[in-house]
Amino acid sequence: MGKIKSRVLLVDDSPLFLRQAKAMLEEKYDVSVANSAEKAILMLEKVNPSVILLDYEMPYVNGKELFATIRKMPQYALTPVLFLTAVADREHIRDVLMLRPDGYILKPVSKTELLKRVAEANGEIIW
Amino acid sequence: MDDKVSVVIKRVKDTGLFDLQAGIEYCMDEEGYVDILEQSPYTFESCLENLCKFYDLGISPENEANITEYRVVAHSIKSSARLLGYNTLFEIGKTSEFAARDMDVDLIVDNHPVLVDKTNEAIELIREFFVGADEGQSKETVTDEELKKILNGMIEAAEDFDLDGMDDGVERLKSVELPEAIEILGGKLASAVANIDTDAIAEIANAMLEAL
Repeated sequence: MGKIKSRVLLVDDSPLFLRQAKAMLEEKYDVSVANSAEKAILMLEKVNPSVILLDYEMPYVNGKELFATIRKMPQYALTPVLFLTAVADREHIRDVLMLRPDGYILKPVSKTELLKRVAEANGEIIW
Repeated sequence: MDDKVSVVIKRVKDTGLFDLQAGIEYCMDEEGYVDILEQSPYTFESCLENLCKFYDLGISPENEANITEYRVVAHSIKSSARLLGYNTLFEIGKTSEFAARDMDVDLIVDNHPVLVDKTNEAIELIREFFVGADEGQSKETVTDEELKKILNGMIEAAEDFDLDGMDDGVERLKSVELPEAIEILGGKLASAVANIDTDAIAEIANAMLEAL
């Protein structure tokens, strides 16, 4: 019998990035996707992800607001959340980290880097 | 390698406008790159619609929330262009995004027509790459019942937010002869799937079912 894969929820408003990142992660994980905060909340009620990847810059309800909502959901209070961001400046990264996520990933990202960061967040790599 | 992939990659390379190596690395391989590239005009069209919507709502210091939304759309164009290695559009999107971040209204207004024009150019250019690229692949003739099955599967996939189900459905539709009555709707459905617009997918697929 095959090993059960952990599930990753990927939230990003860019359909191109969702497809790209999903293809990268599928080798090791079951991947659910959502392209808005609203869809992400619906998805969280249906699936039980081990790791959540959350775009910081989304229209309407942004990643910061969605992160706060997720942390208020008792079942996801401790689920690792990694922010995805394409803005690499120091001030922006500081703003992201002030929210105390479990990390951040700069976009665009290579497959090796993405898999490594998700594995770390999922406790598969212990330092 | 798939003929379509090699034809498109050669066409992209010949323009000299794309950092193909970077794009292929971001998308894992040439096939992944071509898949993402094929979806991108729909994404850019959706971005343009939103960009112009927020622009028309008014770009002024009193409209901070509107400028924030404009920034997110410019960011989306920038990121999509970068993913494809299309650096010209990436730089123009970046100018608008950073102008919006800094609430630099004059720069947003100055750069807006440039961003719109370049995004339109990108849509046209990328579509050209695919014209006749899959020639030789004949389309299958299927029954209305089979078409209904595909469309119902897509509606179900949209309800479940099952991206693979939506993508597989649209790929299957592209491989079959569509009756004239639903041909235009088929194009709209492909656009809705590319943008993962689940409400539109259900609406268009239902309209196609009714027309069959």
